[in-house]
Amino acid sequence: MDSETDPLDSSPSPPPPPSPAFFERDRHVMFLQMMYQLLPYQYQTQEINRLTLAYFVISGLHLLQSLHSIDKDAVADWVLSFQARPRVKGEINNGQFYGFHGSRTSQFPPDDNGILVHNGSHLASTYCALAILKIIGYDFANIDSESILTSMRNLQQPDGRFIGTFDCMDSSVHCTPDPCHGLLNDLSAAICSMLESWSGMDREKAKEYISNCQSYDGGFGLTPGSESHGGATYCAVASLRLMGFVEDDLLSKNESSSIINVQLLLDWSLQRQAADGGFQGRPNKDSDTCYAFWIGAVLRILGGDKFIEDKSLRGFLLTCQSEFGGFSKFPGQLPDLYHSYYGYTAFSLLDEPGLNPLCAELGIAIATAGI
Amino acid sequence: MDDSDGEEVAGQAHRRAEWSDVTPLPQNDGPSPVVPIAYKDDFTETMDLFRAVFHAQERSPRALSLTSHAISLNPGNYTVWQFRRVILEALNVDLLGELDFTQSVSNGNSKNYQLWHHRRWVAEKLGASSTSKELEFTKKILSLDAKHYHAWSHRQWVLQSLGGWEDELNYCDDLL
Repeated sequence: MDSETDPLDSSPSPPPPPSPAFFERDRHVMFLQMMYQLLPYQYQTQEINRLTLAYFVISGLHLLQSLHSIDKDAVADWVLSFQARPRVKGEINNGQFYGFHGSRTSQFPPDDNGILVHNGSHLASTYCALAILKIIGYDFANIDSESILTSMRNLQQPDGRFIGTFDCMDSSVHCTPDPCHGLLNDLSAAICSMLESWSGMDREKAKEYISNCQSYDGGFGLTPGSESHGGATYCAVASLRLMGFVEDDLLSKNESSSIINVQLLLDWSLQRQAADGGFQGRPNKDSDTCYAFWIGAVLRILGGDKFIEDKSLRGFLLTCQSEFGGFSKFPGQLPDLYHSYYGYTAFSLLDEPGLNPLCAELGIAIATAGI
Repeated sequence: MDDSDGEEVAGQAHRRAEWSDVTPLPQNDGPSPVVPIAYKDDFTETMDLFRAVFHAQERSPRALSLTSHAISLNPGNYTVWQFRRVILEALNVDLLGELDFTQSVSNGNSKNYQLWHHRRWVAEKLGASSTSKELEFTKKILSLDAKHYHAWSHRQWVLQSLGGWEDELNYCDDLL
């Protein structure tokens, strides 16, 4: 037997360094404050979603009860500068979506006649913008909600799903840059919820589309017929909850639902907690920090989070906690903002002291910002 | 300086020469930007150029090439992908070559919604003649990552929209 290739003969790899036994809140605050000041160049590839990166930082600081370090007026000014505005009120019925852009990359100035010829505003960045403004306590009476809500309806398709943006100058070029309709339905429900008006969408049609996305195994896919996925399942359940089609804490009330198969959903969700304590997004995938939120929040909404093995979940998450602050996707890797944010939301669901409690269906902290 | 750095510098110099007639449009971040990014020079130059080209709506071969480079720096930028489609239509480019382009982007990172949306757009334009290529493309990706969500979605879409069901049961048998 060739000892160079025989795995039984290879020396064992050194054991990983011991994980800290606790959630290192101060390090996470410092990590977020550093990101708030400057993102390393590697975030260039996420430039188009800069507002989302800001959302992770600001909502993260809010969850960690450390919002005092930011300049709220500056944040409000910056966020509002991304809003797409019609030149005159009548234009909001011209078929465009007047939401928020995600970055300057998709935002171009109006032409010499003041017409917004190119409008790249997007549903996802609109959610992030409104969430940030809510968190910093901005007075929503000063936001042009009507343009957002009226024009949002243009993004909803006849079958109930939402597209994210039009972003095209030539109307004959049909464009739907985001096939992740499940996510977009959730964002639209969240936007209506924050603006306290359902005039932005047809809830019945959205409900129908979402219920068609529940798969035979109880989870939800991104589109009807696609594989059940942790993120898509969260988006489906959160939207139904926000739209009022699912009661809070169904399981404790021993209730069922006419729209979704709750028992199968519960089974599917609980099976996603793996032997290492973490949650996976789909069967046979590795545990990944963010699914502790995506699936944990589903279970919280249903009232099934009492079935989660909290101790082993914490144990897994702490192996993804970085010594620099923040969380990584998998154990022992470098942290990134996305997994850091969902690490914080997961710890909030685990009732970690020093963190604000989470509104599971909106994915941001409750109450403190007047939600 | 290794080979790739040399290529990058040469590329930058070539672009500056090619676009010397165009005034780049810098990003206006406003007085107090939040979460500023420490952009590298090549990124800033490329995107400043893209902004100018997009604003002028230049639909030319050099603009097409610029979108290729912008996509390599920021494959998630849907504005660039969308403008690329506008240019491809305006220039009436042979879209078979575009399949190769998306293949090369996917070699870098295939888990990108914009990439798959673009591939779908190309396949839709090419119609049934692209069916076998699309089934082959997704088959290759699935052989490397059996749970690749985008690849499965695309494959399902191809079968439903363009056909090619004949061998699908056999393919499933092979996988099982």
